[in-house]
Amino acid sequence: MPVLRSVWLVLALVLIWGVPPARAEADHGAIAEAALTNVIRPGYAAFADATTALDGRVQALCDEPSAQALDAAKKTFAEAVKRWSRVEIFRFGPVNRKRRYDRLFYWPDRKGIGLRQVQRALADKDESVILADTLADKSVALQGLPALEYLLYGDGADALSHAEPEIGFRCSFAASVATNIDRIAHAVTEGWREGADFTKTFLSPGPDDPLYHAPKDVTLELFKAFTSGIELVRDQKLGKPLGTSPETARPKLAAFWRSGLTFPNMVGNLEGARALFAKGGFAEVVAEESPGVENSILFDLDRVIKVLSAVDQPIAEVVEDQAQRNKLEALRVALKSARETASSMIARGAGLSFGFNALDGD
Amino acid sequence: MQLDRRVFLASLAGTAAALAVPKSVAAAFKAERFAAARMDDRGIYSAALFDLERGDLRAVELPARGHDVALRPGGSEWVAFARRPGRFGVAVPMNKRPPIWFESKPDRHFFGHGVFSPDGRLLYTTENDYDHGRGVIGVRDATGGYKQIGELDGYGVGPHDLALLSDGRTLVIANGGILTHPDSYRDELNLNTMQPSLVYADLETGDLLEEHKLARDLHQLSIRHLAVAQNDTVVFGCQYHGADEDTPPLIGFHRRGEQPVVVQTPSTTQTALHNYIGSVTADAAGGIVAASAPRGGLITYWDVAARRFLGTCELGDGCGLAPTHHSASFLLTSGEGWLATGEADGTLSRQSSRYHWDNHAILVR
Repeated sequence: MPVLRSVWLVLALVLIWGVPPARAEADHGAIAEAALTNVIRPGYAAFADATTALDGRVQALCDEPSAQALDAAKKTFAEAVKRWSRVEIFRFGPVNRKRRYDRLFYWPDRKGIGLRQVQRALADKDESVILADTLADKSVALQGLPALEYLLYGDGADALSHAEPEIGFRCSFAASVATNIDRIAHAVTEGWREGADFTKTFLSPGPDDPLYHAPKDVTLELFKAFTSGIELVRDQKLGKPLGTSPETARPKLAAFWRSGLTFPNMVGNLEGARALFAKGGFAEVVAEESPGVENSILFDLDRVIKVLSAVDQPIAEVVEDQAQRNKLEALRVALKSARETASSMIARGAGLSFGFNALDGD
Repeated sequence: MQLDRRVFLASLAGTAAALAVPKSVAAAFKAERFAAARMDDRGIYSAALFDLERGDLRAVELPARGHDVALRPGGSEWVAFARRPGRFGVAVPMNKRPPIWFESKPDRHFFGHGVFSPDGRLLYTTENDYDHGRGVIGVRDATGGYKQIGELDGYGVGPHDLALLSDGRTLVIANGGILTHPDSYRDELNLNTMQPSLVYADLETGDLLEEHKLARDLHQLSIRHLAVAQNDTVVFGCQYHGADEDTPPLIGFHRRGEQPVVVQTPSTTQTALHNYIGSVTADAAGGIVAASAPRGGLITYWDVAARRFLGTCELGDGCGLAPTHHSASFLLTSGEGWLATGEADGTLSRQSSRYHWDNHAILVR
């Protein structure tokens, strides 16, 4: 048995010289499992709980309008937005089916087209928007959190607290949007449950799977959610409204400026990215690469989260306030360094192909 | 008014609503089709025609990494090119006919870019005559199976991107200036003496019409990619091969008969570009140009008439750019898999895909 003999020989050599310190590749299956059970599933479940409460409160407001009822509806809206923000960075899976992502969160609405659609539906008293069943087939811009935000906080929303017949349509529209949001949130939760098709692919992808061919592809997907989540806050959520000066600032590009949830939304996005890093297995990958660096990444993220959480002015005032601007610009630098450090280490540690265009130029 | 296709299509989400819209109206808002080269997660290279609603409309597997794609006027087919130093090209019909493969001559290789004559009959490709260290423009007959019928002088070393001016006869070539030889793969052999140039040549006679070199201290600024924007303003993007601590301007503007002007971005952005522009594209109206910086993960936007920097948006490993049907709006593609619509104001909406999108993309009009 020459083969067996050579195996023994190799084994003997290994025993003599010791096993080279080859680092095992990251455990991709464990990363997917951790991300799903510690971050994704609880994140969507929390969101769906909040949308159910929201649906109930908006319905209650329509049944019995009052200042308190409007207030309660707004509070549940704020909670739903915060919880959505934590899962907003995930652009894959069930939320990617049936245009659910855009239906939940049509943003940015650059030219105010979504806003105009909502206003037109209000002005025309378009009956098809007050039933959740028919709303689901309408423009995505009429269906989600930004539309509901306008209905609850936009021009004329205060009247929702009075029992006037004129305002009944607006409230019914809001109620159907809330129901629609709740249905989508539950459909996403359902799509991630144990044994669901996507869950199976996500946890144990096979070579014939159209989405992910190998466990490493899932790690890449999560990695992209992490890095693009930070990019999203740094560039689109903070950078674009701030502009380069108070004169070039565009506060109305900010997400959720009407409800004053612009900063909670960013905080939620970063909490989502942080959770994915800390509880989804990436911190371990970084620690393996360079022990201690995972903590400095978390330190950066935590600091940004803390400062953003403490902003209590509306974005329109913040962009005019030079001291605030300086503070936020500094946060953008911190986010950039966290993103760059984390992404290069995760990419190396998890063996992800990265920098397809950047690395080998042409 | 420009309607936002994203909203319009979204409003057609329900089939009942879709049926209510006349076909002719819906056609005007059909999702733009694009074409680009890419790699999947298994390392398989392909080029595809796709849109953002339905994904792939037709894909062709490539033997190796591709680079740019050229659309044949008339819209009957698109051609994907091998990335340097590759030798293959493939013309893919819009209908179901099989693709037509072609190769560079044995002593040439492609640089990855090509352009058709306005009548769609001839294809011009940048190629390397590497044994003589000079760039050439291969001429192929698209009506005859892409058989090579001639060769023009590229008037420089390392011709890369090329385009036609609006007269349909003047070819503008970005000569990167870097000498490479397939025997030493992608090594750059002349960085100390390199002399990039922007060259205009007559398509029909092959004559040199105009040649521009950058200032002496910018001789290591390789002119690589270009786009012809409004009023035949050529906007070019560069890659710097000098000292890392330098941050030279990377975007230049030129009109025939004038001197090229290179324009700096604000200093923080300039550093973030990492001295590398990967792709340059003009928007539908030609008034705004996007230039990608994949090493910096940034897309920059430029006002062509004012020759002014407008701003950026972030996109990790973002490189491929194509116009959409709307002005100031671009398709942005990324090696990380993102397909995004970016506006010149820096706003961005992205979606995830399963591919590492390669350096370039085109709008299939």
